Amino acid sequence: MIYPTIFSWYISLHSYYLLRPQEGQPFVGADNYIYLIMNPAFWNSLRFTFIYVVASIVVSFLVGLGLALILNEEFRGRNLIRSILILPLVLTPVVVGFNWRFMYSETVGVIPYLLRCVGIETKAILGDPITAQLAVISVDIWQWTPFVMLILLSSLQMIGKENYEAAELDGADSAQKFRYITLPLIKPAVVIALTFRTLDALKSFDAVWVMTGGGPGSATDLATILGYRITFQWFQIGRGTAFAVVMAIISTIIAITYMRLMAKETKM
Amino acid sequence: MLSLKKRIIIYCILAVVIFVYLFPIYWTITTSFKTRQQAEMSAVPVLFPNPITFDNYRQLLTGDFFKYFSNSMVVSTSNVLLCLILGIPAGYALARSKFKRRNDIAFWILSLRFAPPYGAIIPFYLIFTGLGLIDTPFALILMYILFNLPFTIWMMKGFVQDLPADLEEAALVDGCSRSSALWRVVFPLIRPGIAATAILCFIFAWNEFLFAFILTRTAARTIPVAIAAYVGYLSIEWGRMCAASTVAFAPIIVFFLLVQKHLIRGLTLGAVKG
Repeated sequence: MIYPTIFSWYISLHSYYLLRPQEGQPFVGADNYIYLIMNPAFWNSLRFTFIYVVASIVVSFLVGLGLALILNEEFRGRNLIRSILILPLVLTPVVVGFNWRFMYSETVGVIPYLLRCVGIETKAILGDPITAQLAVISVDIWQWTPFVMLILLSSLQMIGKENYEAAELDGADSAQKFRYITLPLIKPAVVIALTFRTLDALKSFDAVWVMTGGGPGSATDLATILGYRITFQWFQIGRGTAFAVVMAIISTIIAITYMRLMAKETKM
Repeated sequence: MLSLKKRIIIYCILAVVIFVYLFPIYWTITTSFKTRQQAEMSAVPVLFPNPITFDNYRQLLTGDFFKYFSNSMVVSTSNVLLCLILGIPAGYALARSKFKRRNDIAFWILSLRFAPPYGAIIPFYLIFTGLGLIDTPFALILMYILFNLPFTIWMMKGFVQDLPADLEEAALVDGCSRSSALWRVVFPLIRPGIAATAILCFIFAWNEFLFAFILTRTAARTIPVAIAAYVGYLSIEWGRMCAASTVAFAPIIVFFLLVQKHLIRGLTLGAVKG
């Protein structure tokens, strides 16, 4: 793992174009990075990646928390539902992407059909930039919300009943109980869930690739997808590696921030 | 117990959730049994395939799909075996022996889970190209060990730490060596954990797309890559694609039904003890 890292840094400072091997790999300094910074496609993909990650973690966190609170109550069928919700976490992302593409399809899809039933005419969902973006983000939310739910649920289940009983004696209502007992006690689990979700969302590639391949145009160009194109479709290895290095730095910063938070939380 | 009103609300919400989660899977599986007429030309979506046809599967068998399926199987199973052979002793050592910087190693293993795979792939692509290993199952097996071995070690360490050390110490006092204590005492006790870890390693390798996409062409192509390639064509044969998806889901769903309890722990890297 260390060797590839150093190797990446090294290549990212060289011009390395697989289609023109006769040029060799001359040292070009920071040229690859400058190329990226000057390139609007780079900024476009970073912007969409940012929207994708933030939207996905916010929604999956809120829905996951809601589901965890519901499943923390005692009622029949609770374990069955929890089991069903584990399934999406192990399904092949590529295939999930295909399934949703099938359901979104304007000719044979179920979703446009259902929308027509309630009176909404849709054009091609994956053919329009805005709806395509919503579509790929919602698939990420679909697949990974149960993950947040599982982590928060297990943390909720560890809170002793006596905490709530004491609060009830003091006359706390349910909003206050949530705010002053539940929330502080599940905070470490919240940090863990957000860490995993952020770093995983940043890595997304498979489902989006199958659904839109980054299109229409470059509307759903995640950083991973653009990086893939530069490196393996245009064979500009130097530039692609520079891109990978930038992304690695970003996710390392995020990871370190979260780990600091985690260390702080678990100490308390 | 909850009040009746509250329970009704909960069941309504959960009914929606279950529908949202099961319908896509149901829809894919049923479409794989539909005729082309029902899958693509019906104005109203067909909920139950009638008549049930196996044509889509038959078509898959005549194509290259069987080859991709066996590629996926070979890569995933050999990956699992290698990870277990290397990972069980390593995890045991990490859990039981005290050496310097033990926590650093554990942390390093965890950080691999967070590393962006895209950053690692270009160097490996160039290395494997240099070695002539592109488009061989061997490249993928090596690649997946890089990700699954740390995971196996981490899980094994957790399972061993859950056991009281007295058990092995008793065995050691009775004259067992370290390795036979591991083999005779620890191993049987953590067997469910090993099974779950093996299954998760299998699923990771089975599901992995990016590396397989870049490191294979056609000879060593795995199922996710094959499905992505089919989708890339302009006209998609939906019924046949759904059959391919169902085949891709099949082992996962079987494993899921077998060991879901331990899967939770693995999926959350031990953050949740299932």
